[in-house]
Amino acid sequence: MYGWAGKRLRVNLTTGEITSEPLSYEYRRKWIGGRGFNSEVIYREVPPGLDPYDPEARVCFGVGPVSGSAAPSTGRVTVTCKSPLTGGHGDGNMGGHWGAELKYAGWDQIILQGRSPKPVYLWIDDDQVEIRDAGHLWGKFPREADQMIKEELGDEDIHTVLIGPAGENMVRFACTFNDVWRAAGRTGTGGVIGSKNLKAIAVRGSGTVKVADPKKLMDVCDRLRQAFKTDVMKQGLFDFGSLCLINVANRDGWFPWKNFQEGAHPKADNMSGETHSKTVLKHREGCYACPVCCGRFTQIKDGKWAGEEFGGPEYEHAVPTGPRVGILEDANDIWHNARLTNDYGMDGIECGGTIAAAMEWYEKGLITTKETGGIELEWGNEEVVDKLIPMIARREGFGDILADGADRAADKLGLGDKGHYYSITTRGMTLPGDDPRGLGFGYGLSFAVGTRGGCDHLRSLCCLELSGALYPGLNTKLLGDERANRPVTKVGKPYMVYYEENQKTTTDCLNVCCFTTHWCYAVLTPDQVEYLNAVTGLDFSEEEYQEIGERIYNLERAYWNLHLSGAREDVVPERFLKEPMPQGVEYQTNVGAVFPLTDLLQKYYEYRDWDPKTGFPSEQKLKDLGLDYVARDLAPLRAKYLSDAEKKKKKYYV
Amino acid sequence: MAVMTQTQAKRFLEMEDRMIDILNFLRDKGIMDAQTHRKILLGGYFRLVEYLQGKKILTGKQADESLTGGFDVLIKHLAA
Repeated sequence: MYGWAGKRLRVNLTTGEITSEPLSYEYRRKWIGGRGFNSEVIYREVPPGLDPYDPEARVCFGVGPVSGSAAPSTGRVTVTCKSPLTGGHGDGNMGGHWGAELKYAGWDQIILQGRSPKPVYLWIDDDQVEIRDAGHLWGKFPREADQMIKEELGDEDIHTVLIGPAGENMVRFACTFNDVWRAAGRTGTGGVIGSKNLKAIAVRGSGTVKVADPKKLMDVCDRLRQAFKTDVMKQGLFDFGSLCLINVANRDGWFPWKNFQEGAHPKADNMSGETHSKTVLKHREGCYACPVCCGRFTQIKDGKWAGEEFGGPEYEHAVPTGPRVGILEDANDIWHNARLTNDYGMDGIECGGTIAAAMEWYEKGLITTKETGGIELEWGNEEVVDKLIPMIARREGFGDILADGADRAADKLGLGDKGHYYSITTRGMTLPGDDPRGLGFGYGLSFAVGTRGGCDHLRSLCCLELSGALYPGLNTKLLGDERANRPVTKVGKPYMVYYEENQKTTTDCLNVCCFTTHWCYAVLTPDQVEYLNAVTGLDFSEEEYQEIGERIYNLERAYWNLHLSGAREDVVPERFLKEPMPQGVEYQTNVGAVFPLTDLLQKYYEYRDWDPKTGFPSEQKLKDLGLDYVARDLAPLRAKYLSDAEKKKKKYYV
Repeated sequence: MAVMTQTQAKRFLEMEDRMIDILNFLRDKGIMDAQTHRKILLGGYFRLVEYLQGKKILTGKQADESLTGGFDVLIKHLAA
């Protein structure tokens, strides 16, 4: 067998049972790996009624057939669970080197289930797998625990997956890290790992990835590396990290100032990639086999936070606890807040988004210091944010309410629909720092229908309207219309979203970084199929490859449908639909824009062959994709979803 | 080769998102089967142009123009 290790590891943390399960040829061909393997397991093994924190719930780590090979940026890992934040399908995807190491240890996937009676960590040394005591690691920041594990096992080359204190305390948006700083940020995977009393997974692999046609693989890789040398998007990411987007976001009006009340600010450059690289960039850090090297390492040099160091931030990590909560004057405050969310192990987007929602509830008089325990939630108050982040991670006081995310906090506080208006969520998850009134209507549509809720830059977003304009002719080639690269237009957007979702889903099955394909368009789908076949020795066609993406996307959608979440829940925050974009800076391009979601949804359903009334995939579509069992599962739920009783329910999460 | 009327072409040209409507039209006209429809939808616009050239509905020159000009040019060729 080439490419895959051909087996997965199952660990029952209740019983301590550790088993190896073979992955058949048919299974690998149908799901490829990574996100595909994980989503298949979650659908099959985690029923809708099960609480995400129940010991029987699963959390999966998956890598793909090209992981650990010479193909570009093949060190990523997908982490999947039933989300404690949204209640539906949840996953995150992280870079680093752990994914390649897992492959070298001889595993394609890990499934964790059960709950250990005491804190433990998992030590995987090739085929030797051991559950070890983690009492001394509990409460430690990831960077501390990582070092302690390496010292304990006597090997600096070990790679670790870790959770922080927030995961231990089952904060619903706790994230999972590897190599200390690389986060599977969204949907709360860290909380599920914490609920199992698992602190870390340390891996050391002495094997390799068996490649069917090494010469062919190296030929493809050489060609792609040449393409990267002149790739314009790659250069921006290398020079400034994803913070290169700050000034673009400000110009095009998608910079999330004060919970998206505005889309641009005259001082945005304070936190731009250009400014960051001149002031606090210590060095760059690349993930495994990456030709882009977008990773930053920050060292704050002066002011209150002088001496603090951390890996990051990137755009989506920096803006939530920065401009989204009204902090922009001193960028060191923003870097400090990003360091805090990292150390405590929380999704910066959800953490900042939830604080921003609370600030707006406070501003609008929906809550007072009575609810906040005396905290004055004023925009731009760094002292408040600095205090709240640890309180959320430790579930202390008002932080305990916010630790459940913006929508659940609105419900706990009894704020009703008015509170949810300011939550800025889709399916229970706060949106990343990208205003669809400016970044684009394709992005907005992908937020509405995303299979993990309002999702972000590395999963299913349609970069053809963000970076597409940097590649003249690309939108014409793929979508038939160059105008689709304009953000604030409906032209070509339903097809763009359908196309990019399939593409990025399969990319997540290979566990290749989306920054190196369909962000930077140096690598296109035919290139991916070429190196997939060179590694595996199989004969995937482009059509089969794209269809696998469609299969997995529909399976994840069906998982939401099992929870009776469908067309009525395909929404974006009302602010984007109702409030015309105000002017923040003179040169802003999208003043007055609102997002026309309804116009786009029906056409999107047509591409997907989803029933426009329910938003469920049609029975025929599921059968065509080899998902007959899913069609059977959904059959009794279609009428139920349309019943009067269901229609009356407002489901901000499930 | 003309496969649509000027009226039909006008309707397609006015659409903001055309891919699925044009593929449905070509399938309903018998120019492609359901499997090809699906393959092109998954693969992208350039696969449509390649297919139509292979079926001799577009000449090489028309195919090249359609690849650079997008649907606006393709639809005009299909209605010519």
